[in-house]
Amino acid sequence: MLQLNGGCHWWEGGSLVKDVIVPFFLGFYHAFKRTFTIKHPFVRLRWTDRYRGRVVLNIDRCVSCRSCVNICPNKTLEMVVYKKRLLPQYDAGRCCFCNLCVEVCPTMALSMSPEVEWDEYTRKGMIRPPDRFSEPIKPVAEKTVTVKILDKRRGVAHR
Amino acid sequence: MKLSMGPQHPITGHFRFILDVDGDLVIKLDPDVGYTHRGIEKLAEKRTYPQNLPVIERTNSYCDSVGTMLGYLEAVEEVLGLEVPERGKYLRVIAAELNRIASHLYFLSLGAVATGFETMLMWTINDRELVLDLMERLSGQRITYTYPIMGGVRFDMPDGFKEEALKRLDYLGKRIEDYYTMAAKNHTFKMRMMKVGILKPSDAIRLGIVGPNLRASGVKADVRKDEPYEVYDRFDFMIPTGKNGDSYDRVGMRLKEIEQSISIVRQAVKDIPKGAFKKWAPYIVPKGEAYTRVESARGEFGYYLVGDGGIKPYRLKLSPPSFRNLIALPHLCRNVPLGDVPIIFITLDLIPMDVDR
Amino acid sequence: MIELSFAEIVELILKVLIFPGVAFPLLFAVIVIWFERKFLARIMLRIGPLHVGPFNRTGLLQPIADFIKLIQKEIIVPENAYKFLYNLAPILAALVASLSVAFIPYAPKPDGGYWVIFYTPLSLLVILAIFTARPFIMVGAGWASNSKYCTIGALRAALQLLAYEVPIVLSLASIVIMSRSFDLSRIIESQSSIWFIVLQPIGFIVILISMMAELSRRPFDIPVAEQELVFGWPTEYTGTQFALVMVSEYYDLCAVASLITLFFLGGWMGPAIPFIPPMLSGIIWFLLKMAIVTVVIIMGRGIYPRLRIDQLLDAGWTVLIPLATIQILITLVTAQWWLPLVGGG
Repeated sequence: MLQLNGGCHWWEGGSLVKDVIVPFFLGFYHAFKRTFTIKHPFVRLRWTDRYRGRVVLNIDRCVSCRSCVNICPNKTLEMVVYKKRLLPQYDAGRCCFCNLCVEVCPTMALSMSPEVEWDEYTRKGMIRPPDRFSEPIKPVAEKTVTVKILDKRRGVAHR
Repeated sequence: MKLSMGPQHPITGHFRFILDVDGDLVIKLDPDVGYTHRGIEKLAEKRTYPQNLPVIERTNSYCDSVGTMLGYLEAVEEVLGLEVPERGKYLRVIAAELNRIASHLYFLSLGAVATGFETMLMWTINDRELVLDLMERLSGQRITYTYPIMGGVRFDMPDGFKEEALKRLDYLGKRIEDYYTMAAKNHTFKMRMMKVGILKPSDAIRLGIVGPNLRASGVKADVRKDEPYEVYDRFDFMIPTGKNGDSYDRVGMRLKEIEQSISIVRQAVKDIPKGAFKKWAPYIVPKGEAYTRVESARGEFGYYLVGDGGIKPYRLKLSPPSFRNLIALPHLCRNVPLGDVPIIFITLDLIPMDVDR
Repeated sequence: MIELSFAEIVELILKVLIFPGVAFPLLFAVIVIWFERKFLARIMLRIGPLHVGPFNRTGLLQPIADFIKLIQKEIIVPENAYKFLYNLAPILAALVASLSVAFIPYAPKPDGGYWVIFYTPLSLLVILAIFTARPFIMVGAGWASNSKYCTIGALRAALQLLAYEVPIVLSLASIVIMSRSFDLSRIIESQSSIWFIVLQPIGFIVILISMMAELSRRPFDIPVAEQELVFGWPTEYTGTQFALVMVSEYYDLCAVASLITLFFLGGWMGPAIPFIPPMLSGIIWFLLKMAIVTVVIIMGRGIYPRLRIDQLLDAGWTVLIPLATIQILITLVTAQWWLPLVGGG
């Protein structure tokens, strides 16, 4: 018979009555608190203004300097010819939202938008040529909430 | 009987353990790593210094990205001879400590789920969300922040951040009482955690264990105190240590460290100086080398950087904490019941991405 | 050939198909699965099932949707499995689990009988015999799957279920001493003046814990421990077979909740509800008590982590069996004072 390493017996876990009963009632009490999660598709989280979602290009400001292409660690951006101009093309599948391209842009043509829901059905659809790269962001959903009330007794409320 | 646990298994993540099992008893455990190897050290040689920021961060992205990046930045700044503005240092500390809280809460959730305790999993993950919200206000991201950069931090503190942070940390401090009642004092939880995977202090030092796992064994070692980087020497905090070095101590260690981190953030937010938060940093790094170590949430993270006077590092060597702690896993999993393997694995806080790089 | 009158045939059909028979455990399973998910979600500060069903985002029909989904799925039989036993085990599990309901009386009838599908004076023994069959199905399924996780899970199931049958039988012995009968309906009748939970609190605790272990509910779900053995003995089951395994668990829960109710909480005993025939009020009381027992059993999943197999067996052999024995001794010694209180007789 091998000797077991570690482990303790049933009597070693503290008071048998208190440490079994108190968590039971604490758990039961939590069942009547406000839930932390929200009913997602009906209510959505509000992103802060600083949130780094999709990168948006302002075509009018771009001077085709290639700074963003050079700085990008993942080869997300690539220069393509669009309407006789050299403009960056954006591959959403490669982007890591590191904000480097936005910082190096000398004319502030690139910006991070708080848009997060922009799923595509195909891998090709994730590559955004300059016209879709510069699409304005979609309006946010009607009901958005954020954590407002922090109350230990009744739980966290989103407003 | 050989039992291959993972890489597709509810608890092991991207590891594989090759277990020698006799009925319900694990005789030997052999960790098989490398499923998430991305070659970050080699990638770093092919990218410029700022391009490396998001790459290095992904060594340990979903738990402690600021703690991971700080070491790299320290190394680069040491080679550059760059002094970061005061406000930048404070903001880095705030971000790092908030990230440590988030990481430890994540650890608690995993530690609970290793015993099948879903309630603690959800509570801690929920409260982690509050911290992630704060980080989102600060840096604009929730998981991979890329917040500190060479010469400071990326953004200044937004308006109202201080009040919001204090409010949320107060709430979090109160919630920890619930964690104590529900988990740390729960009879069944104690039964599962106590005396499981006992790591003696002598063994811990001999094996080179770092971070909270070492402190849980009773060794007082924390880079924040031993070799203060940034502005850690200005804050009043203590290093909690455990008594027995078992899994229960390793869980309790994280709970105590969350309390300490909350106190650090409170102090930092209160006496943050005014002024610039970042400084211009040159693109070309001179010839030179530097070894820095920081205390990330999992323990001491070592960086060895060699610059050759170009725009890319000549060599970057990472010594991540999870890799150092991995050696304890086969050591502790000898003749243990199969039910203890997930607990030992999770309480050592091993992240596969961190081990493999 | 037994001659049955038309009323008797109608009653039999009603019993077999509707109330304690086929429909009731299924409905119980559906409601309890929904309630378990929703209630545990609330303990965890989540919302739980949301989309399926009526009544403004309550997810009421989620279990049925899950069931339909599972039925649609392909049944995958592992290549190395022992196919006959592998396919037979889930059907047997569901069948055996649904059997025990047939012997549980749910209410007294106005003409003096009991509302039970099959009346026998030894129904307690029959129920115990049915419970004894369950570990063998689990071991069979685990062995037939021919997978390492399944085998370990099956062995754990066998150890756990066999170990915890002993305290159940022992503490039932003191109930039998009290009520002087193996007949479940007589056991309820004998609680007409005082419930056995008051007379035998130790026995109640032993039975509650052992029954939870028999059911493999959360603090004792060691045979299906997700973090260690992926899903224990039913790991390899898919589709309809998995649905059967799941349903059998909730059939067992239904039987166990009924049994605890009738052993300790006085079954259908309770103040008569006005404007309702006594039989129906008896059923209502029974179901109400059952619901409370079910909630307590379900709560364990949200509050306590899983034990380890050696701790469980340790506690079973060294604590519960002595406790149950002590309960028998107490019952025997104090019987002369309590027996006048016990009705029926």
